[in-house]
Amino acid sequence: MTSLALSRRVPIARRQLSAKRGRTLAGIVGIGVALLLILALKAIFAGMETRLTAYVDATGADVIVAQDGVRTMHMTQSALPSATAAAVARVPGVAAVEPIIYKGAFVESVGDKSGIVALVGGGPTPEIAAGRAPRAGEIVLDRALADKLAVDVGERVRVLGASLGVSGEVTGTAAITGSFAFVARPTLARILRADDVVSYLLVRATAGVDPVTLARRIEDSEPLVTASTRREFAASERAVVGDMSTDIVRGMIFVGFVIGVAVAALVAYSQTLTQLRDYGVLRALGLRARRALALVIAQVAVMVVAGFALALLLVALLSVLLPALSPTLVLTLRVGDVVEASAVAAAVALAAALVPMLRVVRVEPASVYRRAS
Amino acid sequence: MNEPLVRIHHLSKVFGEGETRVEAVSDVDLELERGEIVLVMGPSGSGKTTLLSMLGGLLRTSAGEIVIDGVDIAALPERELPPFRAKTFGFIFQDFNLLAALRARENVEVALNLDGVRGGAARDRARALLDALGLQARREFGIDQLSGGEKQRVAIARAIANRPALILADEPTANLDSAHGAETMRLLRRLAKEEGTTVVIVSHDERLREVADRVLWLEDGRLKALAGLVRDPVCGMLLDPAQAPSRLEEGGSVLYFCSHGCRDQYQHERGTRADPARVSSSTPLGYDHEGGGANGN
Repeated sequence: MTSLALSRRVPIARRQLSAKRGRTLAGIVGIGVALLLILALKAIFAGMETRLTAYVDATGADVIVAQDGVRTMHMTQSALPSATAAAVARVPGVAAVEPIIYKGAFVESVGDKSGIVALVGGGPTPEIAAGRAPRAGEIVLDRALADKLAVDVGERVRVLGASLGVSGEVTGTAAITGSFAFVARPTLARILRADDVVSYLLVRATAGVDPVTLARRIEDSEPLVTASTRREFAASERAVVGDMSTDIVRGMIFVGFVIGVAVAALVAYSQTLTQLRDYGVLRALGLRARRALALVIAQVAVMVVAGFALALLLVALLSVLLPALSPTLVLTLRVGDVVEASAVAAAVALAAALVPMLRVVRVEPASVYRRAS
Repeated sequence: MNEPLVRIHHLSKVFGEGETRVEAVSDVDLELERGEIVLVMGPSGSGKTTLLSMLGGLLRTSAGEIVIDGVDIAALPERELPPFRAKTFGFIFQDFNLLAALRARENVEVALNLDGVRGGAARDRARALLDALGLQARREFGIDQLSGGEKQRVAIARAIANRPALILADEPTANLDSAHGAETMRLLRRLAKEEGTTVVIVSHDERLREVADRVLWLEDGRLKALAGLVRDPVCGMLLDPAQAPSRLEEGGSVLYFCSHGCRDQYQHERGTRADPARVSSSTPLGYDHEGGGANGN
């Protein structure tokens, strides 16, 4: 049987759905909201990953050198002797080495408002949106944090007991977990009283040198360090979010699945119940059992597909609205996540259709002779 | 002599078992000729609908054969019944049983689709049938927008869409006023006599006797000769004298009643009014005017 032949039959499933528009719409919205839970959460975590690696991506370093065993900035500590920078600079293929100090801290405003930052001393500062790069005794904040603290360029904040003047603002580093703040390396070294220690080395390779090869070469010459390419380092950073979010996302996928199945099944079942007499008539007229099942599946599938499309639309809408309301919230919709959510939607459709299918299969053609109540 | 379209032999249907066992249809033999209109009457619960359901391949038999055009549908496997139904039967129901989600034309088209006719061919045939039944202006109407008579005409169009050999009509005039009922009767008669379609009607509607070639009486699951039945003088119910629950000898003749209540009422009214004209005596009926007799053969 060709799809053309199918399309030339009276579209019973479509008609049955449109005959009860209110119920069908309620089902689509319910399924859409359930799938939205899954898609939105995945998009939020994807957005977090993007923000988390925004600084690493912006450094332009080919290789990042850290204390042995350290492959991330978040959720870890790295300490290297200052002399390591000079040693790494001598490794063949290294064009430049820039040491940075990295420290998690609270930034407090005069009005006692505070925010968490990943404080970076030294290295390149991302593009300045307002003001200028930090000099001694100054700090550059993400605009989202500056707004939260209600501080402008030129005002002062307190960090780790030191008072620093805000010299500028950057954008795009703020996430739910915090944002980046930038100071001059000597300033942070003074605050931390650690003149001879750095956290990471940002290494540029000479032209034509493969970053992977260079990273292995650095590790060979300096046994107490871990060297990662920028891509590897960013992947490790994303894995931190992944590790944090996996259980939450799995839980939410399960919740979304259950809600989706419950809504779709309830709607499909109530639709089917009201259509049982129609199925009896159709069976009497010659409808085969498997085609009756196909009608049920088609109705559920239409609702789930429409619900999925609605969820995608809502996520797209949220990805515009949420950052406007809360700059730390960024929604990034990835193809893989959409595919995963569509698999969940398909599972929802199958599970929801199961009970109505069993009900329809039990419809006796002879039931048409029972008087309608 | 032509072969009959339908040959029913020793047909029985039993529901339940043990104490709940009910024999709804019991050892029925019946033959139906092509183009014949057969009216099956009988009291409620007599097995009419069960008989009709088995005849239409909607209900499995407990015993016996139903041979339609050479095919014993009682022996057909379940998967072969739907296409056989689509091709062989046209169903007309008391409640019309139209699909409310579909338009009038689509209700007819669905029956054609189920018999393998698709697209433009199905649409054109559905339109032509509805036009022939005077529904050209109602073709694209929703079912809820149609009157009872119009719904029944759509149902008839659906029933005859696949040019079935046999139309099975369950109380086709019950939900219609007298004018629409008469129109339905005329349509069924025309189908039988012009198209050669065999029509089996199950009904309590006495008006349908006018179009029937044969009238059969089904009671307690058995077909009985109408000629041997009598009418209760109080409620008018047809009764088998041998099984009448109550009787009364009066003036040399015997009156039969469906219940002691009817007999008491009869005696009471005779006693208080003494008006013989008010009640009629139970008399044998001459309904079997065109050969319908015991077991319908």
